[in-house]
Parts: sequence; C-alpha cells; structure tokens
Amino acid sequence: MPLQFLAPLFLIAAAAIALPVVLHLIRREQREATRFPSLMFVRQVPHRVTRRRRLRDLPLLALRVLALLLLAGAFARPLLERERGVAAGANTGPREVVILLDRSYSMARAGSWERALAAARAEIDGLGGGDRASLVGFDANAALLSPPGADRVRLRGMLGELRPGDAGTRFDPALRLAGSILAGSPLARREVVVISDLQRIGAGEGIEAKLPPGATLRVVPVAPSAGRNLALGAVSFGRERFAGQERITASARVVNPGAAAASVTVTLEVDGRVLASRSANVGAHAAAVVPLPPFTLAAPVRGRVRLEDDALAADNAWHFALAPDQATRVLVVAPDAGASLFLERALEVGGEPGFRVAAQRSLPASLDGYDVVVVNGAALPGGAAAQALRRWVASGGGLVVALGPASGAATAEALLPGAPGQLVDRTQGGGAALGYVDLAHGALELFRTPRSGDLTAPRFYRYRPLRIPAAGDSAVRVLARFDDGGVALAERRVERGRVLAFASTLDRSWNDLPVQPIFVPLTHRLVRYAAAVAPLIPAHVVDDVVDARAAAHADEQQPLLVVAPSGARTELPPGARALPLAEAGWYTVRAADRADDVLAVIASNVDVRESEPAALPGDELITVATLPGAPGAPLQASAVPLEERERRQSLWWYLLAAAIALLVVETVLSNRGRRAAARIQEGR
Amino acid sequence: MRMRHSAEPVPGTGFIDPAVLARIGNLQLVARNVVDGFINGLHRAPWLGLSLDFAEHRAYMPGDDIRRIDWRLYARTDRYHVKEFEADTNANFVVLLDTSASMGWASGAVTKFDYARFLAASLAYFSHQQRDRVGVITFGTDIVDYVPASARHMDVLLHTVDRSRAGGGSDLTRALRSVNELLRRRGLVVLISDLYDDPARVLAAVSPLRFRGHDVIVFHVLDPAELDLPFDDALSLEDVETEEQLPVVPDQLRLRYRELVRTHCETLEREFTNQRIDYALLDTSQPLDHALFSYLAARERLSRSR
Repeated sequence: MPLQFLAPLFLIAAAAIALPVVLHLIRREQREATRFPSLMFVRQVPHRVTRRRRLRDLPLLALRVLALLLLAGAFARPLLERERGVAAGANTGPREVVILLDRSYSMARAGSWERALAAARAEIDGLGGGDRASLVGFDANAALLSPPGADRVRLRGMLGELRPGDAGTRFDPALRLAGSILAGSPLARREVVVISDLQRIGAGEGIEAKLPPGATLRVVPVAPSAGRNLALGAVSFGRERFAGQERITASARVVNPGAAAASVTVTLEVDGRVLASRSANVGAHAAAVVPLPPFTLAAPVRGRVRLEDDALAADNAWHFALAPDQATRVLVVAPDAGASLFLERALEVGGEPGFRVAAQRSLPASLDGYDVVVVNGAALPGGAAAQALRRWVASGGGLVVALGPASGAATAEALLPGAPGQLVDRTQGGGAALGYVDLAHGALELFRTPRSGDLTAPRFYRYRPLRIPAAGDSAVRVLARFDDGGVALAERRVERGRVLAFASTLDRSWNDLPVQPIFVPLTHRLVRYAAAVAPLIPAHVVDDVVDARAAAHADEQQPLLVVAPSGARTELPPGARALPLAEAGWYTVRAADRADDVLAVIASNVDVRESEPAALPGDELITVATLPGAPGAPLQASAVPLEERERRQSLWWYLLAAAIALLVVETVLSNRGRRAAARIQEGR
Repeated sequence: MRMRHSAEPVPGTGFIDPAVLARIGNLQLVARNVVDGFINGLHRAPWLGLSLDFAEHRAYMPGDDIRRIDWRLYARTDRYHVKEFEADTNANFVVLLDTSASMGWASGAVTKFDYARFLAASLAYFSHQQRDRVGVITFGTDIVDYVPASARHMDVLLHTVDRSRAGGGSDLTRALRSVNELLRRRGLVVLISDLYDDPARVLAAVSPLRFRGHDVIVFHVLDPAELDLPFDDALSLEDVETEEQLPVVPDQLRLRYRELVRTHCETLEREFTNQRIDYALLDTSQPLDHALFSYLAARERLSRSR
C-alpha cells in the first residue's frame, strides 16, 4: 500500500527536525554561577570545559522530532494507494483494450488491409468476459470509432465500415488518444494493440506520446506484400509564354523504392483527356524525372499525372490544378528611366506566379489593369490624381512608395502611413542599418527563419523617416525602423487596399539594398503583399490546410461550398477560411448559392513518403511509447482524482491530531523537568 | 553504623518529613514532635524509669554517704540501710553544630543547617527527657556559641540553636580543638556537620574527643544534590564559603564526582569505626527517625557500659 502525497513539497518542512536536534545538542551555560556547598570534590575531577556534543533528554527529543514529522506529513496531505486488489488483478483481472488500427493509404497495398482486419477481429475474439475494448482508427490523425465497451458486435460492425484513407501515418495522435482512454479506465489491466504496417514516417521527428504507467503495448505488424510499387514523387510545372499563350511543361518524378529496376509508363491527363504517355526506366532504390510534353494553358484546368497500376494504387496519381496568367501586374513609376533598373530586373526573375512589369515616369490617369503600383522615388500626385489613386487603392489596389529626393511632402500624404520626414544624411559614418524588423508581419515573415536573409545587412546613406502620428491608428503598422529609431517601413490599410511606404529608394542612389542578396526576395514579398496575391500552388498534400476563401477570391461574407473528391460536401460559413485536405483528388470550392459555379479547384495528393517501405521495428515503438511501472498501475485510483481520494481518506487529520497529542505530552514533560531543574539550580 | 541505608523505618513510627518540620517555627515543638512521636511508636523502651527509680536497699558500709541512709527503714528495723538506684542518668550531652556557610545550602525545601538544627534540638530534647545535662556548641572556623551542659539549659540550648545562622567559613580542626578544651567532663558528644574536609584531618580533629573519654556520634549531613550532582546544563559552580567559581559540565564529571563522594563517606565511616566513633550519613531528604535511632542505639550502649 504505497504512500502518496498531494503536496509533497511540504515534506521539505521535515528538515525542521534538525532544529530540536540542534537545541538538544546545545548546552546552555548558566549566565550566573550556581552556588554549591563545596567544590572540594569537583575540583578533584579532571574535566574539559570544551563541550562534548551529546543529545540529552532523548525522550523529549523523540517526542519533538516525531511531532514535527507528523506535522510535515499532515501538511503534505498523504493518501494511500490501495494496490492489493490491483496486484492481484494485474494478471488475472479484466482488461481495457484499445485497438489502434492503421488506416493510412499504405495499408491499401494488396493484402495488407485484409490482414489488418483479420488481426483486429482476432483481438476482438480474444476478449475475455469482463474485458472492454475500444477501436481507434488512425492515419495522420486518430479518431475514436468505438468507445470503450464490451459490445463485440459493434466492434466487428465498425471494422466492416473502415477503409484505408489517403493520409500518411503518425503514431503520436493515436497513442495519445489511447493513453487518454486508458487513463480513464477503471480496469486493472490495460493494453494497447497497434495493428499497422509501421511505416517509419509515422514516427515523424520522434514519438512523444507515452502511455500511462503500467499500460502494455502490443504491436501486430502487418507486413506489406512483396509486389512492385512505384510512386509519383512530385510533378513540377514550368510556365512560358509562346505565341501569345501560356505553355506549361510538366516533369514527373518517379520513385522506385524497390530492389529491382522497373520500367514505367507515365501518363498526363488534363481535364480528363490523356495528353501524353512517356515510358521510363527507374533503377532500384532510385528516382527518375520524366519530362512530359508541354501543353497550352488557356483556361483553368485540373489534371493528373499517373502511373500504371501496381501493388499500391494511391501513390500512382498526382493531381494538379492550374490557372493561366497568374502573373502580378506591376507598374513602376520612377523619375527617370534608369532609376528602377534593379527593381524591374528583380521583378522579372522567376516566381510562380511571376510579375508583369511596366515602367512609367508618372502615374497614368487610369490604373486599371495593374495590381500594384510601385512609386520609386517619384513624386506622388496631388489634387484629382491623388483622389483617383486613393479610390484605386481603396478598391483593392496595392501601392508601394519608396521615398526619394523627388517625393513631395504634401501630396497624397493621406495615403501614406506617415508623412515623409526631413532627409537624413548618413553618408558619414558608414550609413544606417535596420535596427528593428517586424518579422511577424506578412510582408517580412519570409525572413523569419534562420539563414533566410539578413535584413540588417543593407546600408542606408540617405532616407526620409516616416513620421507616424503618435495617436494609434489601427490601420497603420510599423514594419521596420532604422538604427536611430526612424521609421523605415510602414503599412497602411486603405479599405481593401494596402499601402507600403519605404523611407529610402529602391535603387542604389540612397542605399546599397539592390546589391544585397535579400533585394530580390524582399521586393517580391513587398509587391506581392501589396497586391494581396495568394501564391498559386498547383498541388497540395493530404493533411494540408488551405485558405479556401483566398483560393476562390471570395470575400469574407460569401458562404462557400466545398466538394471533396469523394463527393462529400462541406459548407464554409461567412468568415471561415480553413479547409483541411483529407482526401487525394480535386476539391472544388463553389458559391453556396450557386453550386454549379466553381470558384476554385484545389488539388490534393498523398504524401509520397508513406510509400517508403522502411518500417519501424515494433520493439522500438513499444520502448518509446511505454513507461516502466507495475503492470496495471493506476486503475480505479486513477478514475478518482487524487484530491478526492485524499479528501476521503483525510489521513492528514489523524496525523495532525497525533502531532498535537505529542506536543501536549511534550509540554507536560518539559515543564515538569524544567521545574525540577530550576529547583535544584536555584540552590540556597 | 550507617543508618542511611536502613530503608525500613522503625516499626510503628510515623514518617517525619523534614520538609514538614521546616514549617514549624518553634524548635521545641519540632523536637517534641520528633521525639514524642518516635517514643510513642516504640514497643519496648529499655531505658524508661532509669533515672531516679529505686532499685534496692543494701546494708550501710563504712564510707557510704550518710545522706543516703534510709532513716525510715532504720526506724522500723533499727539497722542502717542505704537506698540504691538503678543508674545515674545525669550524663553530659553536648551537640557540636557546624554553622559554616556550606551548611546553609539546599536543593530542596530544607537546608542542611535546618536539618541539623532539628536534629540537634530533637536529640537535646530527648536527652533532657532522660535527665541528662544538655549543652550545645556552635562552630564555624572557631566556636561561635557555647551553652555548657546543664539540666537547666534546655531552654537556653533551644534558643541558641534557634537563633544560630549558617555563614562564614569552616575549620573543623581548630574548632574541635577548642571544644576539647571546654568539655572537661566526659559524656556524649554529637557532631553535626557536612564534614567538607580531608578525612584524615576530620579524624584528627574528632579523635581527641574520643581520647578524652567522650562517646562521640558523628552525623554527616548532606543534601541529595551533593551526593548526586543532578545538574544538567553546563554551568559555573560557586563555592558558598570561598566564592571560588569553576566552570563545569556536570554530565562529564558526574560519575567521577559521585565516586569521590562515596569514597569520602566510606573512608570517614571506616576510620570513625576504627576509632569506635559512631558515624551516620544523613540525607536531608530522609526523616529524622534515622538520626534518632542512631543516637538511641549509642545511648543504650552507653547506659549498659555503666
């Protein structure tokens, strides 16, 4: 019957027993001499004045120490674990069994799922009379399919409805769920049965979940069949314009994890039509990139690259969705033609989608046809033009203003996050650097991770720090400051549009930013952020969460309907954006009131890492997921909270009463002894 | 004779607690309480009727004191007879009472000096009852008070003992030398002291009394704390006579101290016994009965010897 303490820190107070021990060691020397009839005999005894430490009044000391120990014990709130029943039932009592059945897509390999079901049924058949069992299906997530109970028919029925999904394997969620089920179980013997092909991907970076102490973990491995399996790793798409049209060139990466080389046929399908097939040979334990013939992209398409059938069908298809002409249209306004050379070249570099850049010396009357306007050192317009610019921004346009020598002080200031300040010349002394950068902001979060770019590297020799109004404006946000505290970059939201103001130029006249490695990614991020363009991703992986509203270019208030590849329909109410991808195929995002109107197509694919045949040894899983402990430890005790059990037992009360009784006895004995000693030592 | 070890009280006697006696201010009353209580408890008292009780007549012999001729008998028988009495009880009884400062110490309710005074008064009262001549000598470094032995000095003796106080130093040798010069007529001498001196010196001081023909009884009065040294904490002890201080750790020296005291007492008892001096160690926590019994035993022996 082990003893537990609800507040074990109070046991530290037990160290107070040192106090009476020390007091009993101390011999108080009388300050005044005690009169004695004669020192005749005392003088004859050779003695040392040095005191020998020896405990005195041992009974009193024992009482005091015991009382202190009882007090400390009482405050620590002890409770007894009644494990007699547990120990007896640890090997013979009813069991709480949690069956974890792997339903990741790798279990769809020929024969695996049938063997898994057979193993699960065997576990159900092996349940004893008092046993309880629950069924958990898991892949990357875990779901309790059948709560704890003794209903075997229900368990079997649930097994019949299960199918492997499209997700990969992760053991952590399943083990956590199993642990929570066991922790709430009143039964003594607790057991977890994992039925899985034990894909190593399931361990991820490491398994952190631990089963409750004493729970046992049993692994029923489902060995994959020996059949050939090739997988499509990923498909990359190259865009180019040809004869006024956009042309897509796809390249498929085929992975052969098998021990034998294989020849494979890769087929490209677009909108249900087979466009091309290519054969390739892939060596053992190797991958091959198979280029596919280009196709013209004139309208949004959904496509698929697939391999011929093999032992595992789920990794033989790669779904994608492409839309033409996704380039961001940028107008660069600069006072002279060469001023924006670096900026224009940077925006012409790559990107999916890329930028279509136009350059002018002044703002045109109409900005229709542009997503973003970058004013690089040029004066902002005033009067009616400024009003037009504001209207354009308010309607969703993006404006990036880099302040330069020609930037006016009074024009279009209402659009900027702050008024341009006086010119600061730091040509002497090596220039200024950025001292503060808000890396949590969407425009700069690309640089948040280590080695993703040093924003403090550029040197600014001249700049016009923005004067942000002291009164807080929720639409204005400072993104970066110079090392002297001046505002270097700030954002202002103007209704649906975004305005970014940069306190220096985007060429080499005022700084060395264009020759820094971060120039290209920084300008891309600033322009894309101002344009509010979501990056186009032709294909996602199952378990990704995508912003369905952004993909559909729908506003916040529009109710949306999402149709999954399986045909399942999910409504996205106004304001909701997140769409978790659970199936491989094409998700369609539609307007809720016009179900035939497809606003966006989102492609989802299986995680190809699940195809890796490398398996996790069952022993390793058992070792990392279980804790040492007496078999069947907490049981009923764990069902009742510790505080409640402690309150029921109330051992502290008895300890406190015993301590008080001891202290009373100690007081009586101590006073009696002290009076006697005083009588003797008063001596007349 | 070491009465301290006679744990059994004399049959029939009541327990006379010295602490109770200490509450009685009148020393005569104390003495009477002790002695009467003691006597009443005795079943047989061989010394009763000793003093002037008629024993027999015998024929007048030349040389007899003619005042002792029984003239009434001569009138009836026309022969000279003298009266014989059983014994002459007019012995000298002198108490030597130590009044040094060490006698004034107590660990309990009764100081050694109080105990000694009760004892002296009780013994004197007892002797006075036997028609003995009683006297007292109090001494410290020398004789303080001297009440010569006399049948009429009982009141003076009690008064002297009552007003005497413990104080000053102690010089047994010098004091007893003076006493020896004062006590010309032999009798019963009772010495009451704590005897804080070297046994050889004590014996050298007491022995001359014995040599002069006195029957000597030594009552060695000690406090229980002097026998056991029951102190607990480390402390400094101050000699009440010399005021010398000595830091001690009682725990360390207790055993050795007790051994020294025991050796001291045993040496005194042995040496006194060799000199035919009665010795009794009295613990102030013990009833006075023991002291009286010790005295009476000696007194009885004395009467037989006559």
